[in-house]
Amino acid sequence: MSQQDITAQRYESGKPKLRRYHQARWDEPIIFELSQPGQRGVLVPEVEPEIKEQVGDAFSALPDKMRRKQPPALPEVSQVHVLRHYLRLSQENLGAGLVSDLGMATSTMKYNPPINEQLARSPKVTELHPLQDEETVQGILEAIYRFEPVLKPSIPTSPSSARITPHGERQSRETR
Amino acid sequence: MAHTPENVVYPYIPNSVPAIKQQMLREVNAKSIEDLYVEIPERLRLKREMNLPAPFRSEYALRRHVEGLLANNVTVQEYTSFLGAGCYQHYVPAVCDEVNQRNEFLTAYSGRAYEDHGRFQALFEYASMMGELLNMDVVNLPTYDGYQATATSLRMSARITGRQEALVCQPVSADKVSKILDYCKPDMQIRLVSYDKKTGQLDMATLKAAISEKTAAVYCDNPNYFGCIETQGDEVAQLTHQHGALCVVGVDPISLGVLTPPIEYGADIVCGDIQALGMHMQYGGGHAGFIATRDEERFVMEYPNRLVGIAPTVVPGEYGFGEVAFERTSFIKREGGKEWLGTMANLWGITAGVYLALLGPQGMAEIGEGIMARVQYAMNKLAKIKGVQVPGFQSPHFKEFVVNFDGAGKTVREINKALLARGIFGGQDLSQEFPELGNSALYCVTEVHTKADIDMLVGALRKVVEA
Repeated sequence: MSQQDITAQRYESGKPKLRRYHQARWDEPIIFELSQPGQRGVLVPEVEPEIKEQVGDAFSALPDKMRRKQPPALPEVSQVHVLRHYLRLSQENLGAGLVSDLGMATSTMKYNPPINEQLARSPKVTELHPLQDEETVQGILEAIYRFEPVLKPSIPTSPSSARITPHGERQSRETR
Repeated sequence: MAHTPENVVYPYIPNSVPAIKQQMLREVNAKSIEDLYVEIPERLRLKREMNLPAPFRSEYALRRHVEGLLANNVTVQEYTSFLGAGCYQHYVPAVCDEVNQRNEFLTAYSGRAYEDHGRFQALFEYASMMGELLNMDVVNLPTYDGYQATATSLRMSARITGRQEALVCQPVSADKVSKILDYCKPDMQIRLVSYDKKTGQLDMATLKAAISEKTAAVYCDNPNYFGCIETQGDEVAQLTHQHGALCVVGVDPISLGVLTPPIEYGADIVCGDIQALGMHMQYGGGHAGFIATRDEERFVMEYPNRLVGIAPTVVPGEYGFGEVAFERTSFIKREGGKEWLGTMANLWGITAGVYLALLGPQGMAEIGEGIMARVQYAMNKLAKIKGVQVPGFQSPHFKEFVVNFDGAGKTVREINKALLARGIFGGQDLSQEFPELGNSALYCVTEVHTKADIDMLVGALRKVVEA
């Protein structure tokens, strides 16, 4: 059997042959079409019996006109079908992570390193309420404080023209 | 090693290898990178390095640094929080995070329907599910946040009616009022209408005195800033329509599994924030706004935002998605556009769609009922503490309620500091925002709060107040 040079076959006169790329096409139904009465995608935290017992009818103080009569016609879909549906929709999509997105007019797409995403998704960021006491958000306030001089790099951050490096030590401009 | 850009290979910049850079320069007949900028006048060019902090070379060093900073945060997972006031702690189903971190969605930008079919479908479905929740025909793609959605709803009202004045019914958060003013000044007059001191709901008599043929819109929140459920929505809408104005209602979408959608009591434009529907609080970064109307041309053509519609294609049985009346937008009209439109928080729209698909009608009903039960339980328990008055107002409540500490002999600030020492974030201090309420705080209870959480708050407050 003769050895084939597969790599060479990828080129024609030194140039790559036409790509045979095809984006996923799922002919995915609309989410409402996946609905079947009674299916649940996620269950919500239950109210403890003691609360129920103590409160009784949670709607007793609510005037009838403010009580929704017809439940919203949202789809009823099992979790795996919701996930599968949205994963398929994600595949029918070309983000800048997949192709070189030249963007539009005023906007250009930059590379977003996954480390940024991972840090931004840390519970130490996502689980903060903006009105928390300042002493409990010192980390994020420090990050914002340190970022300010990055946005205005030519303006000294303190009267002595000293600046704070990411490592925390103060460093005068002359010693850079 | 010294910071010398010439010999550093930057992982984020694929062509920073010196040899490749040289090859590219040769290819375009340039001697140096500076040659590429010759068209930029000398005086505009930065001839020195930017004064940036020294970089972390390795990803590990960066992670260590950032995680070191973040370690100084205390989250609502570590402490128990009763803060609300516009940003809410709800449970975020894992599937919401799983979908919105998909790189295809996360890094998608300005693609059209032909190569971003999936994103168009996901956003069409988001708008459709919001439409079902709100009982409205048309829902826009997300705005920056609910405050912006409110301001734009008022501007839409001004354009539709040809009038320039909006009446904003208190109680509305000071932050929201501030953003309304930002977007509506200087060509609209925003007048605040005071609230009823007993019910905490809008004051019909004051509203009647304020409304006129100059009024473009009457705006109220339901549930309002004090967590009171407005029960006069139908009267407000009737009065508003009698004067040829539009009734605009801000609503918390997570309440709509159990509360009547505003259109049913006469709202013309409904707006709000979708942060509650599957977004983490993110220190205030998880917000996005919606605007909803009936499918009438006079409303639809005044949206400045993108609208996504469904249509047949050349392939029988295939769904196509596209922009609806795109020529409305400033993308086409540029400076002649009704309002400026930028890229918005569409990833949160997709996420809210996932949330609504997961919850379904039953989940939305249970979550609403559960919140009302927990709020009632918390109010009953807190009311038993000496020196604490709960609720501040005689109204049905959803998710939030005002607690008054006038009888406690301590300021809210002092009380919250004492609670903090016990691992609790107390309610938002209202003493600056609404001084007439005295020493009051806005407490928030959602489905994340267990009986034990509420009992712990009650126990801690009793110790703090009665001490």
